[in-house]
Amino acid sequence: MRLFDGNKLCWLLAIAMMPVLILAIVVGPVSFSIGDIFTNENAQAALILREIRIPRALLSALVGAVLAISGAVMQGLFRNPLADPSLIGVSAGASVGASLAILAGGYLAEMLGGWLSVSSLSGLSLISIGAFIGGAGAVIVVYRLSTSPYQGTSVATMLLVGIAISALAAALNNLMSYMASNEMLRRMSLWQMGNLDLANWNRVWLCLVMLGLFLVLLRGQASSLNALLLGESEARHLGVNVQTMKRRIILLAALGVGVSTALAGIIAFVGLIVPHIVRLISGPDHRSLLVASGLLGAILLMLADLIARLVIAPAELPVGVITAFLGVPFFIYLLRQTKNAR
Amino acid sequence: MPDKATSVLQIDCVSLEVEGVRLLDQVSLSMERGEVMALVGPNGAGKSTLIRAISGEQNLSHGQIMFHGRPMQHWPLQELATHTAFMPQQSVLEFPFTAREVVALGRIPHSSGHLVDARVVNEVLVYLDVAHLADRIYPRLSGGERQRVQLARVLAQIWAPVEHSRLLVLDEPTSSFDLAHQQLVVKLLREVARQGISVLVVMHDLNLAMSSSDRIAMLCCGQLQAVGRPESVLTETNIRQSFGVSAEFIQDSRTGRRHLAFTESEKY
Repeated sequence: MRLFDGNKLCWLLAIAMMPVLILAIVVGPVSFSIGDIFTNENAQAALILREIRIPRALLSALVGAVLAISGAVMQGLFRNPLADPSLIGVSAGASVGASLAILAGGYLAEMLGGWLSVSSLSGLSLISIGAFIGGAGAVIVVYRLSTSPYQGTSVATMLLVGIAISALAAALNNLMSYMASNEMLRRMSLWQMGNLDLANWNRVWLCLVMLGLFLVLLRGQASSLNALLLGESEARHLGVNVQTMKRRIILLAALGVGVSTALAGIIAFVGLIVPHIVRLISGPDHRSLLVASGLLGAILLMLADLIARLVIAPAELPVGVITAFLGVPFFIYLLRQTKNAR
Repeated sequence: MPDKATSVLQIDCVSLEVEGVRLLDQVSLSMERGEVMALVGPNGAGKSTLIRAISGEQNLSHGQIMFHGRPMQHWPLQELATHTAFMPQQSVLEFPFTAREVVALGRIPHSSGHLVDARVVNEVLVYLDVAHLADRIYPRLSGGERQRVQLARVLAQIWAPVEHSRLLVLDEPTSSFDLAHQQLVVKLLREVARQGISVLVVMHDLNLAMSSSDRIAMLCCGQLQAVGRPESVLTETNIRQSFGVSAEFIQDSRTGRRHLAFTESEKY
């Protein structure tokens, strides 16, 4: 049965986030005490905190929140609690864009003799921009193909087109891997594993804007999403303009996954697992699900990034590997639980 | 159009074609305030199509459907949703809402406030004999229990009087009900109609249709075969023509009520 009601869960998660955030800031190859965050006695420590630790902790929290909320709305849209943002081809499209950027950037740099750096466009790398364009492009293609003026968006068609796009993207990625040099190949595969080590304040602000957009624009959609869970015609009978709402949600979710993928690579399972856990605890009502998912996503990705930084310190594991390792067994456990309960 | 303006629902010569197949052929019907109309007919007669046409889900090829004298498609969705409620044949809901939360979804079009919503939800839960299931997880309920919860949801949507008189459309609401709950629905339709709500209900059980409705509309092959009082529509000739079975009326010697008995099918 339900452990908490939705509002209570949101408060608990908000309170739990504070110690996790502090932990994510103070723990690392160079140790700090909590007091160091607030004082500026040691100039080197202050620099590490200000330029590395704090933006990284904040970025992991924001990316986690955006991914989890995107997952929650996608699952509502598809009316399937096991749907994932990567299903509609965003991750696949983004990885093609990123690989292309690495490949083209690499060859360009070679031709121009190195004065064009691949990784500097106001803090956002060429790779991020490529990933965002690829992801958003994939969504637009999937949406166009699965929407007809007469029948609206067919969820089944959309899933199938998403699969086709992912297959095409995999082929393109293989082709580019084949053409890439060893160095580029390593960068491509590292990017696809998801990484937060490029965190800086520009990325934090960008992700914060995205989260703000989510909170403002999704707030009024929560009840409509609840109605949509009953079915499209049922939602219509409850006074929801289903077509308009679906379009808005697809665009928002695509933007959310696109931005977070552009900033941190592919981080699997956060969008799938987090809303699932929240539903188990406090039910599927979107009015609390969206906020609670955002908070839990933030906490979990901060913890995952902490683990990624600690396991083989001073080196780092890609955080996407950690989320997959933690997420898959948990997901299987959830599946078995639901099966037994039915 | 003074006479049309008085009808709650006015279906004017509606035809509907999908991919060259004519699903509805010049159907005309009107419903008055507080009237229960049963829609009967064999499988594929166009009953559900007619309901989808009324709800605006399917565009008409010809004719028009008006609610309180105003074409359906001209009503703002939100306002329409406070006056009309539709219960589909089946609803697939995979998410672990409790029964109470499912019923509360019926209050979405209203901005009546948390307290009023909670009161309405409690009332319909009791009314449909699902109060004891209120905190159970909906996808784990039995088929009949789920159907009762869905019926409670559509009732919650039009529970309180609003500006114009209300319309309730039910597509086979009793298909998974046991006998006692079928009788509950018959009683419910009567009481709902007494409050001024017009009810259009698709039914397969002709005896149930006869005992619960004021008028019956019989559809066959997309055409309206007959419409009128139950005894004038449910005749042995009409039933044989539409359903292809022989029917006979049996009078209950104690209650004096008439029941239909079906003897044989000409088709099989």
